[in-house]
Amino acid sequence: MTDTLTLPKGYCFHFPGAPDARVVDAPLPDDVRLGLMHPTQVLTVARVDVGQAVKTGQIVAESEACPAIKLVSPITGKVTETVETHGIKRALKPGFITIVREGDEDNWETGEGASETPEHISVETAREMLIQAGLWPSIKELPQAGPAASTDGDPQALVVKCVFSEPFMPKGNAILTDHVDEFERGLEYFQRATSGYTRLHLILTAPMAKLTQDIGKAIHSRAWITPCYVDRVYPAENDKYLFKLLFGEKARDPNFRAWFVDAQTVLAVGACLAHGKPSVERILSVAGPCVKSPEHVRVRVGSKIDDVLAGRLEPGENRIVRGGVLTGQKIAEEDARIGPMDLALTVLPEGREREFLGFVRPGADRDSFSRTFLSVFRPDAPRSMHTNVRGEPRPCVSCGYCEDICPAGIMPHWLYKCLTTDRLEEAEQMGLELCLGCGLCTYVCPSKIELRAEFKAGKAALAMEKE
Amino acid sequence: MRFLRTIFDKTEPLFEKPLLRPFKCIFDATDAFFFAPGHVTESDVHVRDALDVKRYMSIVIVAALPALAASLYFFGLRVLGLILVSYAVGGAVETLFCVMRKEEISEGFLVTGMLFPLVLPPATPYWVCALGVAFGVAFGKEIFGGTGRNPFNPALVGRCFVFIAYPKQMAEGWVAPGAGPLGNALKYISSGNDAVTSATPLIEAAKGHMPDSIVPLLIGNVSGSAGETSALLILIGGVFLCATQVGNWRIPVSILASAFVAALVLHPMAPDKIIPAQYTLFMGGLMFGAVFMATDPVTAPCTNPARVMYGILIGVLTVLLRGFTPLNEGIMFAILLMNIFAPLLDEAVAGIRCRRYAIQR
Repeated sequence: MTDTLTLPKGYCFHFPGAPDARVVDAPLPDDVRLGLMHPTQVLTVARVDVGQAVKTGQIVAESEACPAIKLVSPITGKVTETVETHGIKRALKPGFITIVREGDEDNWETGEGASETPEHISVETAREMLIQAGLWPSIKELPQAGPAASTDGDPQALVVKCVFSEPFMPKGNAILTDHVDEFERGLEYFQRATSGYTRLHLILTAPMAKLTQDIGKAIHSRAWITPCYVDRVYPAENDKYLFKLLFGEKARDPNFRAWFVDAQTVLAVGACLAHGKPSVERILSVAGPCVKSPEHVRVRVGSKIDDVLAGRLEPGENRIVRGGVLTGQKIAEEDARIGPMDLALTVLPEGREREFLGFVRPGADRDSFSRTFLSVFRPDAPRSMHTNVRGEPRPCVSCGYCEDICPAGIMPHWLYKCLTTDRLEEAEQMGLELCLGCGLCTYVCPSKIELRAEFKAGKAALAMEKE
Repeated sequence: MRFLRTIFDKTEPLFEKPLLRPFKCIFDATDAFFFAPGHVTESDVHVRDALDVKRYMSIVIVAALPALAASLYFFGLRVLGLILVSYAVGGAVETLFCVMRKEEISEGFLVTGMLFPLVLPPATPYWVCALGVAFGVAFGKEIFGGTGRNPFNPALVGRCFVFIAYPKQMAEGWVAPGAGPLGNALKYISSGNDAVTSATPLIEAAKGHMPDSIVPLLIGNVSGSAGETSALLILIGGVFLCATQVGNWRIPVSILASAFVAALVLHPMAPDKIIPAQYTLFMGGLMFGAVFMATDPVTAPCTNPARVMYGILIGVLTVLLRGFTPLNEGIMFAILLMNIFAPLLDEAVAGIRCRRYAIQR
């Protein structure tokens, strides 16, 4: 049984600098630093002391509020620094742990309970092993009730995403080519984290591509896996969007839960449950117009980002983004490190040039949702991209582009007017919580209004009011 | 363009001085006109669409250029004079308010300044044009808070003001259209021709003389407001506006369709009051109003179903006002009246959407 998921709304980007499908191994880092603030915004506490020797995969920090969230050491070495977290709220300064590699040893701490036969692993063992390997936070549960998926009960559906549509994110064929067998077994192992056979929706693209066909053949005999083909239109990988499209009616049941993971996590789950391997490395895409040779890199968590990017960047003023161009965070701090859930390092040119009569240029190479540039006659040609705001901030002129492009089907211009006039309740009624956070409304707004940021703040305000 | 950039860079510090600081918005507007700003994104959305409000408004002006060309051909250089007065006075009023409010000068008045003269009789006195545009910008837009906050179309507010305040000057402002290879393009017609030769098709229709054929109405060699006579060129502009997705097609299409249907239905019932449907669309300012005035995104509804309703009501109201009131032209008042109803129509749509979102949450 297969499904074709039609995305009712979305946007295709044509920016140069997408990563090639190869994966290059980065050398073992000399030292790693793990921030005690986990990407899920949960604070962890160090469980090791300065001077302590640690093995690759050994637990070095864990959260007291959410015990399923743990940090593991990415290398074998000695702990040289543990800085505690201090301050609160805006003045919070998360601590970190620094581990320095000693020699060339890479001794892995393997988890107990691994088995080459998935059927021999119980639900409880599978979950405990994934937690100990630092993999549990990579499973996202919707509706979201906490920072990590609940360890009690079972989800009613599993979703595995092999597609990324946000520009410069990792390519499914880089991660999965030559690893189809491991991926197939990873899916079996992932299933073991739930009781019984939970339906698994496999989100794929390009049905005619060789990799997709290979995967299709590999999973063919499993009735509990439903391949779903989707076009690479942003935001195809957005969990909330997929939740609505896949489960629609069923999602209205308050007890309905679904788990979302990506292909990389499935491979890691397979390695963990089959061989006890902890999650210590990431396959990142290193891409963007400022990267000389965009590709994927396998790198240990905690490595210096500067080392990963060394020698890869074009000259000029660049912006390094952790994640994608619409949702990623600009890296501004010195000595930034790879995080345990990072997916991409996107490098963009800063666009500070002041173009003469910029607003009347024919723009054959400019991307626009409107059809006001000559680029409309070259739909597949690569577009110029940089970080210039491309206009001055203006009041909302009700052009309606944000509503036209919004995949969630809400009215961003209406919500914006509600939020800026302190009508939070009306914003809630008009669907603020349905916002996917994809950033498309902000991308298209001609008045350059920071809609995504407004909605993020609005959703946070709503959540606080409900507490 | 380095020398120009250097001039701006050298002039900027002058506007930091206390005497000139209130007028910095003028410098900023001029600087931003010539050189796109060099600001970079600060939030997590690191790249942006290339369209900005300046270009958005420029597209509207480009769409109006065919109608402008027609107005120059038919009615001569005086139209240019009206446009200059309109930009100068409208710009001054806008700048005054921006200086007082310490806000940036917005591009909205570039559109108002162009469209306002195109809805005036070509021989309107300059002082009437100046008063009209000043009234329109000040009371149609600025007192409500400036661009993005006005409920009424500023150009139509100005037009309404001069219509009511200076009816004699309006009536004497009609000019017979030129003909031939250059038409009136090189002529300067300073006052209205006699009432017989320059009566507009709507004035004639009110007397009971319907047009013989559609062709002059399409091409535009009839009398009327400066930019409204050539239905064909306005349509071309309209198609361009909608094809670029700057104008929402639902508004002009629903206005024209509903006006046509209303005339079709009502003409047999009141043949001496209602203009036949096939002429209704192309006479007077209906086409111009439907394409350029009603599509103003700030004053029109912001939801698609409301836009359709808005268009339908404007079209029907225009036909009714033309036929059953002493007014010859109904489109101006129809649009202004529906500007008032636009938020109500949006609220109705929002109420329906609210229920849909509640189910999804």
